[in-house]
Amino acid sequence: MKRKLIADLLLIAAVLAAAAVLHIVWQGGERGVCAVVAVEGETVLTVPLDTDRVYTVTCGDGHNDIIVENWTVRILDADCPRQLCVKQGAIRNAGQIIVCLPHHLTVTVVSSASDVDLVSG
Amino acid sequence: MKGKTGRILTAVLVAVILCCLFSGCGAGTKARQEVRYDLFDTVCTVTSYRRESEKTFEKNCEAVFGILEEYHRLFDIYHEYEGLTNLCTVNKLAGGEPVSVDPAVIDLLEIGKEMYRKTDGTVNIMMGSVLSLWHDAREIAETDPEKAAPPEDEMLKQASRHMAMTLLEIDVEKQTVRITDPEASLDVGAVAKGYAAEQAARWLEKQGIRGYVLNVGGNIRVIGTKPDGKGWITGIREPDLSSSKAFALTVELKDISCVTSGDYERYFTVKDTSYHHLIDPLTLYPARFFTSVTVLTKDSARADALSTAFFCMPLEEGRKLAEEMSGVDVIWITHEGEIICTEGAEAIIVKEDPAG
Repeated sequence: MKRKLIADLLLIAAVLAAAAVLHIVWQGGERGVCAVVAVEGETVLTVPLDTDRVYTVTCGDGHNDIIVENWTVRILDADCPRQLCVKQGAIRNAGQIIVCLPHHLTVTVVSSASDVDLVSG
Repeated sequence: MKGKTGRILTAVLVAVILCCLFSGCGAGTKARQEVRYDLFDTVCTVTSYRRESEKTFEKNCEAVFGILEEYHRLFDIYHEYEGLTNLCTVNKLAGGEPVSVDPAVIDLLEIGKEMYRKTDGTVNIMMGSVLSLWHDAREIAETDPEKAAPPEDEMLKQASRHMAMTLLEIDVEKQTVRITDPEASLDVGAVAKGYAAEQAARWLEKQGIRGYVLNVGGNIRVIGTKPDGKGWITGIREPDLSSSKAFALTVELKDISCVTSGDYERYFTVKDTSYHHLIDPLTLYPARFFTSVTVLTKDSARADALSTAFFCMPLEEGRKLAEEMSGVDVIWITHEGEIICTEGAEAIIVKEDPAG
């Protein structure tokens, strides 16, 4: 009987863990409103995701072209050696991040919950 | 063995149910959104903040996009559609006989005329001759930046002889329109998107629906408030694109339209001079008074037209006009980054800047 109880308890724990994981996977984070571009940890640009546009960020002797399209953001072009940031593709949900290590550049999507609902202009 | 499989299945099932329950907690604060890219050559979105079924939302979207599409066709000055007399037809038949049009076309043109009177000619829907020259110049600049150039001054002056409002004859009773000068044409770019947004918003209001936001190419029209009674926190874009801030300021919107006109929107550059799309009818060149102007007023058609008007007139003139018109508030941003607001706009500014 005792063994069965332990088994049940383990099962409950497993169920809760599975629920938590599924919750995170399915929820996927809230859709972002802006992307924050930082170089060396310093914010250099905050771009709204509602307008499709290309931004160029120069960092030291390199550059990253960042494209916003259809509420997503990705690195369109960069002159870093391995192009990992370009290959990473597009991100759209709050908390997602693109890193370009050689240029010490990050692009982070931020959600509407903490800032704004709408963008005008 | 059978029991074990059963347990695992139960576990998965319970996990799924729990997961749905967790997700359900957050669903009330999340907004549903549908986007279309083929109307008014721009992006149109319908966003619902209501607790409602997917089916209800889809039904409302379909109705709203249906309304927008109808006006998009009627007010299109670049294309004609089979079996439809639209503004492209009216322009083509300039100098000819009166043309029978849809009541909505008459309504739009009447609003255009009213805006012309109220803004002392700063909003002019009969400026097609001049605006088409700028439109062509922008298209060339976009496809071949090497060839980018503003229209020739002489051509602009020549075109400006065909932009008098008196060249437009509207017969409200017979529902006909006539442009008396074959060289003249309509360009309703300053009012058409706003008009369509307003009509769609009124349809939703008539159904008793609140908690929706329409965005027709930057013409924001919020219907009611969010379900919690609060307004929508709206960032007014920072016009200085080299700034690290996304927004110059944030405002809270309830039951209102918000339209921003900025010099950073659609422009081309020739030898370090940028030419944006907001043309001052007095100079025939892009207005240089501000970097961005936001208009807040209930009616989206008027908000649309007035954002162009305030952008194309000096501050003092604009202040006077804003005072004369009731229920109209304005936020001007100057080239120096100074933000100037009317009293009503000041009242809805969200104090702390959440974008940091």
